[in-house]
Amino acid sequence: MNISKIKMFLKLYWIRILLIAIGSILLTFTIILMAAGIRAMINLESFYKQMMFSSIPVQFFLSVITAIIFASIYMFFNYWFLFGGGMTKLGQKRVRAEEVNITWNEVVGMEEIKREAWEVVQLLRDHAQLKQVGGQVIKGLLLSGPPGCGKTYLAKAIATEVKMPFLSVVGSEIEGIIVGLGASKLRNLFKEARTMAELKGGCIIFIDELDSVARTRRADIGMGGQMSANAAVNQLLTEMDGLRKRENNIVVIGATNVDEKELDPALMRAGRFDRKIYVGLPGLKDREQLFSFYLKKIQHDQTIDVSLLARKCVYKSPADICNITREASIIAVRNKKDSVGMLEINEAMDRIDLGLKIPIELNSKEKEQIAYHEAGHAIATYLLHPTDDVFKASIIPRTVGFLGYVYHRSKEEMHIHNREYYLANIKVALGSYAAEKLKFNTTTSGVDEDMHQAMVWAYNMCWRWSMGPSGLKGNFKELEKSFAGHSWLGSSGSNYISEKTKETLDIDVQKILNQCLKEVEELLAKEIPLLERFAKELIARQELDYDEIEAIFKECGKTKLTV
Amino acid sequence: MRKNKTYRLVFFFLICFFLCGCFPIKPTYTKENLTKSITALGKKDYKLSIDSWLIGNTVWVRIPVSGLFDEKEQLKPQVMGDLNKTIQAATRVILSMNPRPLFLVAVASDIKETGMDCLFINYIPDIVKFQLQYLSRDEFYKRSIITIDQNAFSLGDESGSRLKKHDLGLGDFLNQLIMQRLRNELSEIYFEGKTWKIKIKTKEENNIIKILAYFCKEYDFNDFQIIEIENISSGEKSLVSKEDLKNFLR
Repeated sequence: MNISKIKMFLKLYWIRILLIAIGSILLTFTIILMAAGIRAMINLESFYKQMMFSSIPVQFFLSVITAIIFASIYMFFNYWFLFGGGMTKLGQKRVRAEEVNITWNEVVGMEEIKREAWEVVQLLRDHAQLKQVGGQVIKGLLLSGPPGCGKTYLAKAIATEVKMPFLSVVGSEIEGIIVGLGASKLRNLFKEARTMAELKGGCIIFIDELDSVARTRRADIGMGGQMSANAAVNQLLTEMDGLRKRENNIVVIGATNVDEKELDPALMRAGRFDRKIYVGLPGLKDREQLFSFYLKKIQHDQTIDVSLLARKCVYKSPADICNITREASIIAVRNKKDSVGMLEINEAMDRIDLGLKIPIELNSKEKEQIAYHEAGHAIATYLLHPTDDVFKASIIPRTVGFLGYVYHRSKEEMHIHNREYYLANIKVALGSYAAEKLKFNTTTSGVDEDMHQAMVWAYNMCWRWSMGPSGLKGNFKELEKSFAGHSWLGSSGSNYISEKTKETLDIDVQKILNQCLKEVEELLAKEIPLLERFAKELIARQELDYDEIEAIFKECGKTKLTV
Repeated sequence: MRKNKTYRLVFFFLICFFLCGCFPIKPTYTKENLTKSITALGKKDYKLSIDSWLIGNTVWVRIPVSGLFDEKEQLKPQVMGDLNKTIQAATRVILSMNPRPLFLVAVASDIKETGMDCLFINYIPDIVKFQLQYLSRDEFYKRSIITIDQNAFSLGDESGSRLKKHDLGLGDFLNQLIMQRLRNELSEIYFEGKTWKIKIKTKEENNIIKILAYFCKEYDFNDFQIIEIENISSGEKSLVSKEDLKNFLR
């Protein structure tokens, strides 16, 4: 009975017992050492005793000074790393509204977006009036969209218009190597913003690359990194909608390239990022405005047709358009010209889209093979593609297209595509293979990327979009992804698709590829004179532009397929 | 009220703590038991048989050894080690007494082979300064006189009774120290009454006066009226007054 009681006691209090035992041992040793020390001190000869006593105050003061120095260093680093010091302010820029200096009129090429943003500007300007009627001030504005579309520019213009101080921070710079540093930086950022808001009546915090600090919170997988990221999101949530003694006119503008779905849902709810504006790629009219805006800044040929340029720059962002005009001005300087002309702009576009020319010397046989390869693409595009035009064909090696390329795309943005579009894409990709086979009765490794593209489209048609010839319906790729488990080694999951279905889908992929190839082969066999003409012209001129391509097809009595 | 008492107590202890070096401490050794204490300490802590004598203001300590030099005609390491321990034992006793003597002469006597004595002479205030780190080790050794004397009586003298012991004066000590420092330049240095007579071999008179001035200042030595420097190669004599000597260092 007694033994069991002792066992129970030990089980309950073993840590306490262990600590007491260790403490007692340490105390005993300390007492023994102190006693030995005192004894040795008593037995010291008078000279050394006097020396020791005399040095006590000096040693004491030295210890105090050393302690003060080390404590100061420790406190400085502590403050610097965690409590509002320099480390926590890294990546944070404070800018006054007048220093931002981007006016509303300077924001061009996003008229629809500007209209939406203007409403936000009005709400921020009239926050006092809004409060009078009992309305709530906007807390957050999320600007999402592809890169280079002017999100930062728009945020700066908003700051200029509402005449508020502007604190700018990049999301990726908030997180650091120290766990909790991100949260600390955010805390200090908002603290500064509140001070600014009290002084100036309001403040705008702009967080670029918001996704770096606002991704959906997840459980930590044991390495601690996720905990830090979660802490930063929690801090942002608290700062935006936490318990505050006083409400301040602080507006957070976040910019991100990622989908809203990937951001933490708590941040997206009303009361945090109240307003969301999608800053997408510019439309035709917007691109015209952008070209006019950027061309105004450089010396240019007044005959340049901005509407033509806008049509040529489908899927180009404002940053791309800015880059084209800048590149064109550099080319003009290199060509010793006073102003930028259409030639320079075309060269700049080629350089940006297709890369720089590579000085590779091709022999005549290689040139011929490449020319027929590209001719196959061009003819398939011209005669079979429902939306795309051939803008350029070249056998000059470049960094993007490598040995040769055919540049084709639609005349206007398209946001959704049908089965025929993808089949046409596959046919265009396989055009090179068919042409090589038809002309040389063999094929080359040059079809590598074409085959890859064709397979990707065929695969997606069958596995994702229910466009396969067998009639199987469903998004099989997403099904696998949806049920896949996540671990720190990557994603893994059970197999939800039967082997038979997979086999059918794979057969569908091959059927599509073979059917497309057959059609292209038939087309090219029928259009051998056109193939020969196009290839020879390409060998002779190296590069063919839109007008030249059109002329060749017209000479051969062909017209562009239109749907 | 109670709080005030606590503050006063804390303040009192703090004052005691900081001023503890200012309170007088009873010397561990006395003049009467000096020689016995050195011998006892040597036996107890250093396992050496040290003989010691107090002659006036000079403490003589001696250890008998068997052979002073090795094959390379250097002092044997064993002898050096024992002599160091002897000096340490004597120093510990001398420093912890009040008033202190002025000179310590440590002797290693070869009682077996040659009858030579190796003498280390130190000015005790220099030892104190060295202990309190006012003097560097290098400077301390420069202020130590090391001499080798031939003393046939030392052979077989186990007790040290035949060692020629006498009381040293600051003047004698300085003469030997300056002589040691300027061994190549000096011929002779001695006192004749209150005249400090210096016979030199070199023309570099200024250098010698500089050394004299330095030592007189360092040891606060004034027990002379005039310095007479005689160049034995030319026979020229020059006189240096105390004032001139002081001015020399300015």
